[in-house]
Amino acid sequence: MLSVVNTCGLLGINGYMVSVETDISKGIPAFDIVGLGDAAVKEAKERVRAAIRNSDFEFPSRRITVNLAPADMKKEGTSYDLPIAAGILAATGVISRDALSGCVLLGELSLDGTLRPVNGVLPKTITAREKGFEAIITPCENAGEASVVKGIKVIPASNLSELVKHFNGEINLPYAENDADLFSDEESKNQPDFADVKGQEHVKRALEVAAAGGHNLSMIGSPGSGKTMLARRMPSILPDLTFEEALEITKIYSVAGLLPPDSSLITKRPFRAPHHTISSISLIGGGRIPKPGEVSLAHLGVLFLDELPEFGKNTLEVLRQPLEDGFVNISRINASITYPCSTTLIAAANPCKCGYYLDDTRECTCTQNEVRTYLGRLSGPLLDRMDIQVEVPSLRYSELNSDTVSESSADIRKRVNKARSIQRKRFSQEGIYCNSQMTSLMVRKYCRLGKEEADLLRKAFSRLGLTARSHDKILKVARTIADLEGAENINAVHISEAIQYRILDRNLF
Amino acid sequence: MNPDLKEWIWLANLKGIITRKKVELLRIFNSPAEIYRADAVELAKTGILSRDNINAILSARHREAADRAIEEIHRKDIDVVTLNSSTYPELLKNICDPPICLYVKGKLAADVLAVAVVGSRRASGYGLSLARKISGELAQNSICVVSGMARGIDTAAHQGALSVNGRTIAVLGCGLDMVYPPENKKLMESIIENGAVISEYPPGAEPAPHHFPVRNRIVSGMSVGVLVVEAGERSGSLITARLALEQGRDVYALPGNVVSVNSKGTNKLIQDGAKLVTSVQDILEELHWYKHFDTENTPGPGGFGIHGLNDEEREVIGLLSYESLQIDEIQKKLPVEMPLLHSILLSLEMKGLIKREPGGKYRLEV
Repeated sequence: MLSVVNTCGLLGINGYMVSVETDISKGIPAFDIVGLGDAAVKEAKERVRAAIRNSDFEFPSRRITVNLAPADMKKEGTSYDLPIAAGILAATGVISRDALSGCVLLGELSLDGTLRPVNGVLPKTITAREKGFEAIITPCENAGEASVVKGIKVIPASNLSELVKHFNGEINLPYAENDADLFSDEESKNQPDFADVKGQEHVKRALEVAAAGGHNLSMIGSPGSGKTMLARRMPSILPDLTFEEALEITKIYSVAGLLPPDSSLITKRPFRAPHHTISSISLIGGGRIPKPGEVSLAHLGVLFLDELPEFGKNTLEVLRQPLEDGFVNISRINASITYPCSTTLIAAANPCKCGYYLDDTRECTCTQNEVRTYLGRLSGPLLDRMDIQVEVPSLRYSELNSDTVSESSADIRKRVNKARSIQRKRFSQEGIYCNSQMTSLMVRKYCRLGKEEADLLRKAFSRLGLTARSHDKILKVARTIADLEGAENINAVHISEAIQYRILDRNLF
Repeated sequence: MNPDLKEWIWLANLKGIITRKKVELLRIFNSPAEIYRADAVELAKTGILSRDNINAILSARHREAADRAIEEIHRKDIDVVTLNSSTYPELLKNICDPPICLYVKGKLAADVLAVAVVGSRRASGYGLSLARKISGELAQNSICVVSGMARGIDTAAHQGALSVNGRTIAVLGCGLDMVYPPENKKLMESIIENGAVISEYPPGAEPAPHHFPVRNRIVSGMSVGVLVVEAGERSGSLITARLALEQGRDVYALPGNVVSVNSKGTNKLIQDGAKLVTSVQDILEELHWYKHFDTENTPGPGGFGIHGLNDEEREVIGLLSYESLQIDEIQKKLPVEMPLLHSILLSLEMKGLIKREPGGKYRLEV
């Protein structure tokens, strides 16, 4: 007796259909699972056997062969438990085989037959819908994320016996519906807000420009000057998420198994701040069973690298390509996996090892050589990706105590949204969406300077000792500043401000 | 060439006996060759040498090292100026422990009128730009600027003198065949062209930490006065200032912000009686003993070209004339939007009126 049950596997952040074929024949009792399953799939045998028995069904004491097709792709994880169990029950006639067609099953089984949550339900649901399936059965805990997908019935099930009754028409499990306003403001109210940061007005302005043009930014300043605090507020001024963007972020988190329980869609832009001891694999993704790295988890959000010079040299090196491309490619013998990673990089660094090199109030204990090597680590390949570089001076007490009200994130975001919509319109034919992505050809096309502006830039280069690589970056940032103002052309004020954001090129240290 | 050169170098390199005693011996024996030839009795008769000293002299009775040194200085194009030489700086001769031999690259003159400009290695922008300015003005008044070619103020002092094609002398704490700090290679070359690089250490001597305080006595010794531009509380420049006082030289100090760690030492010097210097005139005033200076024509402090500035730029200059400020602090005092303020600051900076320092502060350029 043969049965076929549909389920989904994961490749990167996308799902693919897997059919679980179960054959029960005469012979010495055995239970084999073929089709390149990993250890978790092999162990499904024991869970499935116990779950079927403990749900008061008979486990056939015959030769059982389960094939996970396509059989040449590696399968991993515990989400095959439920389809295998259902396949055996269908092959023994407990469930009618017709009921299972048109339906995708996934879930982990516990020994008593209860369904447990699994990873990657969102991308799998999307795949199931694309392939034209009518319904998907998920563990109750995963119903939230699955129900975000419209056009397919999501049926949450709590245990195996309940599911069998459903398939046999004895009961009707209700569909999970998601009508809640996913983008309600409730969430964003709890986000850290720029209104809480006193002082550092010029850094906030730099962050606003960075958000508006999608520019990467680095901050240099003594410990305690508020670098982390400022970076943490960056997501709150990034443009509002669209549904598609939210879906993409949620897919990554779903695959990584980092989706908070009972959540449906991630509607906030992520902020990831990995510690500087992170390995290159966990930063960009990979591993024996490929998982998205921090840079992908920060997709469409902010990746914050605090203490940048403390990161391993190799770690930073591998970050270059993904930052440029907006995706990470992980190659394996039988498949290559792509994780998206369009993220805004914010890096923070102390000016020296002890951190007080530029501080007025405390003496720096580093030698001149140490200062030099420390800042030297800042330069190099990664610096090329930093459009904006600002210094964050330490605050005086009077500023912390001042009553001046700072601008709220919501107000800043309004300006950012406006600037982004100008950019989207400008680049509608170019296949990019913000100023930081311009190629040098586009810079020449969209950042034309008048005579006065070109003069200013030329003088600035000779007087301030700017390096050549700043040229395009200054123009891109100036373009963003002009967009924030709604100005058609870049003027001298825009250029000036952009030049002020290139401190590391100026050899001030 | 000095016929006794070998013995001079032998005496200079002699270990286990301090320079002051060597000078004393030279006075008694007239020449190093006679010291070299003297036996134990003659040496003991001088009455200034301990038994260890005499043993040190007697056991060093070989001159192979000196032979090698002479060969090396020829090869490396280094001159040796001995204490009896006519080009040995007159002022330096008069300190209690003048170097027996000076290794020289460049031109050294006996009657050079020199002022030392020294200061902290880790200087602020304020210190650096004033060191450069005052050194330049000293050089314009044909005063030779002496310093130690260290990082920070020393480098700025040499650069200042060189910028007006003035004379400058660098006193090193290592052999002249070495460049320390290495980034000053170009600087050293132009100092040799416009003055001299000197050292009492033979070629091949490493820049050992204990060389530098010893070197400082030459810096102050060959100068009529020492200007300390910036010094922390335990800066080596304070050693130079102390040595200068012991040698009977003037000590000048540039005042600084009282809370700045870089000016703690100089402010203390002023408290202790060093002459407070705000411009080059203050130094020239003290030097009229040596030479008549026309103090009328030298540029004074202030006098910024603030003509042709707009109102906002003038206001920023006005704010910065009291203290250096961060951009946020300027914005708080002026009702100007941040983007516009950026462009005002940049335009002032490009006009050379203000300077951006590391740490995000702006100050008036001097």
